[in-house]
Amino acid sequence: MSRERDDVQRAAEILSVIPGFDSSRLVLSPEEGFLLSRIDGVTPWRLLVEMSGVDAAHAEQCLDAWLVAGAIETVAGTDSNSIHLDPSSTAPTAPTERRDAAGIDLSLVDPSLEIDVKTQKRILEFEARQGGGYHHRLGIDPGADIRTIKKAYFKLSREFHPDRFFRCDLGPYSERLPLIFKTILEAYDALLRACPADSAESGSSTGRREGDPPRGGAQWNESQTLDRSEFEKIARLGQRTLHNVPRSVRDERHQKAEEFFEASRLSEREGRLEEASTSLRLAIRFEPENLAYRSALKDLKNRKEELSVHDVLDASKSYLSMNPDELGRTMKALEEILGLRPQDSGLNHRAACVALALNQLNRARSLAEIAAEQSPEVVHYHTTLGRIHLAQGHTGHAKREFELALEFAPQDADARRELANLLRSGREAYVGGSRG
Amino acid sequence: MGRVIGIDLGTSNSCVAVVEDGRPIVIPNSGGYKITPSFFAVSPDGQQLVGYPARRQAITNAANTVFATKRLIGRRFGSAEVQRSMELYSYGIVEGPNEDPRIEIVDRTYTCAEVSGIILGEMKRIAEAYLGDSVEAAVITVPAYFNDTQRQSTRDAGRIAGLDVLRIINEPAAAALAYGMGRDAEEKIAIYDLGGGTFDMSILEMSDGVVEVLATAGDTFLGGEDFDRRIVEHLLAGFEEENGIDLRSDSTAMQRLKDAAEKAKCVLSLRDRTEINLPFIASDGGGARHLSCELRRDELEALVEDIVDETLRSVERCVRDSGLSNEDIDHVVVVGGQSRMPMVQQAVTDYFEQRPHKGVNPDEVVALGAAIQGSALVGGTQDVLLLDVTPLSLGISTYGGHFTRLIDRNTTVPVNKSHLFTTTRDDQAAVKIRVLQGENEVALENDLLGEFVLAGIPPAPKGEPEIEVSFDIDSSGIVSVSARDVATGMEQSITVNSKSTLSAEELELLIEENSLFDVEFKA
Repeated sequence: MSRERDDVQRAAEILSVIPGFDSSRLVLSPEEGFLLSRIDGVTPWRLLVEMSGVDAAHAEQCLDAWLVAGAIETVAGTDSNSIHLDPSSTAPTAPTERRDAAGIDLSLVDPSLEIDVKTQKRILEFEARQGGGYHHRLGIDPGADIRTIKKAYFKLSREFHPDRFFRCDLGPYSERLPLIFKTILEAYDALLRACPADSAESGSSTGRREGDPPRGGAQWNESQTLDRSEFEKIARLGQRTLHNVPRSVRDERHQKAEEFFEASRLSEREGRLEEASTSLRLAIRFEPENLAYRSALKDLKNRKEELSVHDVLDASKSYLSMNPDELGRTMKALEEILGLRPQDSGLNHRAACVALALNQLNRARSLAEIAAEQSPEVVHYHTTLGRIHLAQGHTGHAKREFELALEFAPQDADARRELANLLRSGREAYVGGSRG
Repeated sequence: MGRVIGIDLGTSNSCVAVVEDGRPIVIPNSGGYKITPSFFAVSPDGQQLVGYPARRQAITNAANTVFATKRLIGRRFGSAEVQRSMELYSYGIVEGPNEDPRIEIVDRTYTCAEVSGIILGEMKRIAEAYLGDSVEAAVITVPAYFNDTQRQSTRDAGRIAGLDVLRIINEPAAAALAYGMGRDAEEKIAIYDLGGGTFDMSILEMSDGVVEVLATAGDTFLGGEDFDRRIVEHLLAGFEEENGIDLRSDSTAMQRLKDAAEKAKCVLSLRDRTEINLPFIASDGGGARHLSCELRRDELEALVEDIVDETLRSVERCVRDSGLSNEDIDHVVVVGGQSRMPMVQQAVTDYFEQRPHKGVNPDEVVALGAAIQGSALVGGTQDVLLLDVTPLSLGISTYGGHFTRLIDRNTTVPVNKSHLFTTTRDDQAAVKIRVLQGENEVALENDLLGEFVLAGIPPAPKGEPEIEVSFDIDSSGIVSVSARDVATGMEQSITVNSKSTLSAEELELLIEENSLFDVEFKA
């Protein structure tokens, strides 16, 4: 089917790796491996091809092969106007990209969504403004008075409040829109608190102007780790009393936070993820209310997890030739990463194989069951589960799994051989049973 | 989506409205009245009555006539409010399986959500008869000071009535929406809402159709009912002094007294004095006894003065919370039936040094606002937006039984806030997060919304581990809380709004049971 698509459409296609697909089944050159590993369900194919340096014709062959092998799939609903899911992604932008006067990447706008194109552009515009300070976020001058701040806040609220999009199908915006409103609210609250006129008006407000330092209770439960380092000390202090400190100090903290944030981006680009997350944590310490830092940290955590999944899967690939010690270590590494991604079927399956090699049959079985449950379409998960059943002496269960595997892939040699063996030995057992 | 109705589910009366051709209108019931009593009764022959028919037979069937369930909904059976209601009301109140108060009348036991659901179902029918079309979706109002459980129970009531409850909104905010619709001016307004059972005070700022709630305060157990009660007590004392008979144990007499008290109260809003005549109220060896007396406005005012003063305390707190002063308020709007009383009007006028705005009908404005919000949510009314706040502080219980706030009351939603906490013992492996709502520094005194445990914290000296607790409230007011061990990244969370006094199965059963009686609307 995909062969019939025209080239332009195909270039903009977004692909994702089918969960649980075991890439060890494919024979890949390093280049191809790189290309496959970059498929993330977000970045358009043409960008990936450009990044990988694989020549276009060869890349198209790979794409066909992987689609056929069931390794990847196209993300539903994509077309030449696909949304780029992650605007903070550092992927290099393509030279063909169209931008409007405000510098918004028009290829990110999707006319098929329930929010109109104009609003989508405004969202992208707003998100592009996120790097700056509170005034910049609200689109007002630094010296603005309360009235101007309020006007800007009301205007933005009318545009971006979640109620404006009540029960609409927002596609990729569904998680971002609430965040946008929170960002607006945060900037508004901070600016209002900072306004001298407001603080003169009433000093005793217990309401929304006061911000968030929790009250009640003394030393008992607040973190007491202030002396870890000089930076952390200042930052933690900031977290407690942020809204009572002079504006100049807050600006300074914001400055510091931005510096750490920049540093983290740099580290991330150069692949030093640990360092990047340390920098981000420091940025959060300095400006804990900045949601942009938190979401960046979350993204980073995901990326780290993905990488370590990849590493662990790679390292455990040769489990069949390992000695018991090595197997034990591999199992431990697998269990550890499974704690983070308990639903990952590829991981569960690999762990099941290793457990089987270690003869931990019950553990192996529950792992393989999870894998087969998560991705019932992957043939060899059933085959593995069948083998485990067999090792436990449950021939009935084993037979069912092998049959299931063959149902999905009638040509699968592994499953067929196992089933044939089982049927042969089963008959012997049956014959033996009737004699006794 | 079809039409969305707005329902003001009141303690004494309810009102339903809808937006037609861009204008909100109140829908009259089949008797032509714009408000319907929030009364439910089962007659001796087993017939279910709602609204005026239920109210009309209240005197002859006091033990099986239910009203003012709004004062019970979402509360614990053991609470002072429920215990007080048990003394006041002539229908039976018993303890349900979830420590909730349930209503026991002739045929069976009803949950409060069920009775409210019956009232809401009646409002739905009124709207359907008027519109000539079925209605599925509604916005329902509650007092701003209702806590999470009370809101959730009201939502359940809507579901029992077969309504898709798009949003529960606060009564003062609804009033402000209706007041502010079509006004372009930048204004700060105060809404004083004294209804049948609850009192709410809110200060709002509006501009270009955006309504921002600055602060909210109130009392969910203070309203017209308490005014009536004072009159009844006064009549009881007078009668006992004269005749030596205590009428408190006679439910029919009590219901007659209550009725007469309410009527007298309404008359005294217009006149200086009124006669109260209740012939054959009791009998003893000397034959039949009649109650006959006069009540003057100044007598009534002396009886309820402290209740009015009590509302002013909330007004003061609300103004303080808003960060404004009295002079900053451009208009004062009074809402709710009890606000018709001249003494109340005067108290508000004295406090704000200006006369209340006359342009709104205190009985209808809340329902109109609810209809506007419903229409705005489904995209019908584009030029209004309500920026609502959370009325009560949210936080967790910490060492020593303290309540630590994470989200202060009057914070605009949606919002999220987080804070770091730590352990109090060496090698403590787990922490229990108890999610609370309220204003008391003592954890136990606040409402418990839910709790969960974060376990698996690696051994460390006390004060070392960092546990980040995050609160998130979405624009529907749904609260979720998570706790994360910063070192291991382990996380636990709950959505506390799913808690209600009805179990999930019970609710499903009631919805199903109710839909059995549905009659398909014939267009």
